[in-house]
Amino acid sequence: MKRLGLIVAVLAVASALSAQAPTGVDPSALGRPATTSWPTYNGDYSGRRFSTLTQINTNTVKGLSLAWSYRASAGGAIKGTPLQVDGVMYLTNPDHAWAIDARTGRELWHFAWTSKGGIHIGNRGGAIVGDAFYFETPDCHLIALNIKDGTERWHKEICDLDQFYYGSVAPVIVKNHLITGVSGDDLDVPGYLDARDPATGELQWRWYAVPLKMGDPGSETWPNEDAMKHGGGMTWQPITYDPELNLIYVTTGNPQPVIAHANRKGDNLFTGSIVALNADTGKMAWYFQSSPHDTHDWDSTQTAVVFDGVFNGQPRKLIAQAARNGHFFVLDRTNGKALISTEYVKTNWAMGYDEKSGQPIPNPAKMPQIAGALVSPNQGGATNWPPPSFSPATGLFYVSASRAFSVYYVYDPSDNPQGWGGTDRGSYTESMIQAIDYKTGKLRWTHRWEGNPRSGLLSTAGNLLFAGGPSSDIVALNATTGDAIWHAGLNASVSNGPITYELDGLQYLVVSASDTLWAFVLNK
Amino acid sequence: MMRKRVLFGVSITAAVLAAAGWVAVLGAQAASPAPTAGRAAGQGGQGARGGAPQAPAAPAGGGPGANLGPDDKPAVDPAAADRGRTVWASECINCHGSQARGTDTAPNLVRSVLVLHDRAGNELGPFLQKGHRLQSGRPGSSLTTEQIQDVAQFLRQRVNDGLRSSPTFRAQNVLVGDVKAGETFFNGAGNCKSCHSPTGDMAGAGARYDAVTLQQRFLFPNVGGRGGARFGGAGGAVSPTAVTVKVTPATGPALSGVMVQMDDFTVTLREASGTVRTFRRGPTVKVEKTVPLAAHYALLDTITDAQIHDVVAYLETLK
Repeated sequence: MKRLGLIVAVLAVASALSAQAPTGVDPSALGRPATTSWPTYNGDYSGRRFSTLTQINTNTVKGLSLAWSYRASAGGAIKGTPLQVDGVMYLTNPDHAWAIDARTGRELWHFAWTSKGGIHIGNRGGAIVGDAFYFETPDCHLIALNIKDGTERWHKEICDLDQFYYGSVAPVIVKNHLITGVSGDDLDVPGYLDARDPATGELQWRWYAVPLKMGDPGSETWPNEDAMKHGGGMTWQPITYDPELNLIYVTTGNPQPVIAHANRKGDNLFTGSIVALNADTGKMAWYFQSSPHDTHDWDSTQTAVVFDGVFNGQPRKLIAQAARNGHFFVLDRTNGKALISTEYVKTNWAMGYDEKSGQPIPNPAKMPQIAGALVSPNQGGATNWPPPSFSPATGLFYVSASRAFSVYYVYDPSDNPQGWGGTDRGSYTESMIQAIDYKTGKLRWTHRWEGNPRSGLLSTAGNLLFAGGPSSDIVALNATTGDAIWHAGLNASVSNGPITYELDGLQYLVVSASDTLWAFVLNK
Repeated sequence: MMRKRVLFGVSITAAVLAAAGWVAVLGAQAASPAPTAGRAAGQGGQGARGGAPQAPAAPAGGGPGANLGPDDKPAVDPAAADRGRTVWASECINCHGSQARGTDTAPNLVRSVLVLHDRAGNELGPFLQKGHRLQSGRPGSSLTTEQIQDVAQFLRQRVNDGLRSSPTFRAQNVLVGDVKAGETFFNGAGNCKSCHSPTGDMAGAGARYDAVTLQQRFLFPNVGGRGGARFGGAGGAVSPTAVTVKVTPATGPALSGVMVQMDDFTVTLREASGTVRTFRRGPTVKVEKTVPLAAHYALLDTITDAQIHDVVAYLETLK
């Protein structure tokens, strides 16, 4: 399909690059934490957002100074995590991508996509494979650029705008598969995850988040084919991956219709789930549904964090998620069996856990009602898309958490609602960082905020946890105790997950606040 | 294959459509119609606190479509949709249902990809011309171009019914509680009367607010969230519900005022005089916070939905 009106704006070319030529990213290196780069959305495949760097630590963090700031000229707030490879930072916003000198903050190039539409709520970031950069646009395109100068290699339509899909998720490269998800929950359409050829964008495999015909696995959790084929389950957060098991962990969104649910009785698999897929075939290995029959817009797309640990004295391959519905799960990532199911904030919608599966059991009384049901958390959730962090040094899982209340209403009381059919209204919110001991599921510490910041998190071997604070600030907490050590005021609330890397022997901390990136460095 | 596309709002005469055999008019993107309605935040909308959903800024170089986004969907002409409803009632409703959501005998058209792709009848028309039988027994090809365009409008309106921007997207009856029980709760377990009186501040509440608003206001008196009452607002008169702080520095007198901001490092207050003061926090600086609405917030943990409905029913009687 020939595209009309495409423009490419290359504002500056690679002449400004530092001495070495960009060599790009080798996917086989993404299984371990990088130190001199931040080469994929979560830094590595694990989703831990943990750095082994220690220059910036509890003793030195007060010496951080501003290295540079960079204001994105378009697309609004930066909600994506930039990548840093070979001294160049790659940043995205809806319809826009930039390369920035990671040492100076100078713009190297800017690519602008002329949009046909779609929801421009945010872009989570891009992926680099070799010398190509990939990102999704709100109008359902996957775009490949040359990292050298930002010129376009190709673009591919990956979803249907007319069905109200849109693109926002950061692609992740796994071997020779570019893994891309889709967004959109206005209409009742199925979510899916694609593997695409990084060279051409051609589809390699597609996994649908819902069964497409009766008899397929999971179809027993839907009343009929029409319901499940339109059952939602968007894949709008970046996947994690275990190279050894060759399993991709995709997290899926809420079922459709979102709030009014009379026409989708059952658990509605595989929405609201963590699903393990074979990276080469897209075949499902196991699933765990963290939000069965969700009726509150609580997609369970929060990062499923991969780590190895000791559980009841045994070394285990684990995966953990702090779900939007307020519950925290630790699973065996080889088979999806729940080891821990618990709340990380108090909620009021579940009656307990299924003994066999460890999945929460929703309380029908706290599903949306015509006259309203007071529910906690609210639609925004106990957490949301801002990524959590896990530190193997402290054994703590950190999450930006909210204890929030709202009233959920059914607006469409018919037996066949479409789209939303209701919503929540009103809100009371208390926000905090929760540090959860993965071995017990118990809270080691809580750091309460005097407002409602909600940022992504970064933990480091310097015993630090970086988070957005309530005063439009970036805050360093002691990762072991939760005590605040250092902060710096930015112009706006932190709007993404902070990253760190070392260049020229200096450790940087980079974070976005609204439309601006702020880079701090520990000078020697 | 390229999809044929006509954006509604582009003037297309029946003659052109007929002559073109429903072939789309390309290049119509620039003639974007008025938005159907700004859609509410999408995924992560509530959670996307880094900023409200925003219209995309114009890409470098500008160009057509710079302001597309939520506006890329066809607008509905209500008059045309009303005419379409008439056609619908006489030729479609028996099989596809009053809301086009399907019946046992015919599919849901709100979920039809053909309908979602359709622009002003450009997909619906060719489909009907193939002979799709209408409920009158006539073939679909017997519908005029105008009738098909009108039906397309009616269907787009039904699609939009499911969106959060829909005019039908509103609370239904929330007055389901027991007035007497609500009054008892107000005067008893709810402890409402320690601050409120049905003949004082609450007199006429039922006349001032509809039931949904009453329900929301008593559960969430802080609505407005960040920067609202909880944080003392941005200026002007001091709300009696604003959070206040009293700061006692290591040396010097204690100062009190509306809390403007507080984090782990500093606390800022606005004194009654309007003076704003910031203190660096530390072990020798005492900070005491007062939250006038604390009783409301505490209620959220204990109140039942039945009690909520009872209270609303009672408050609604205070005319």
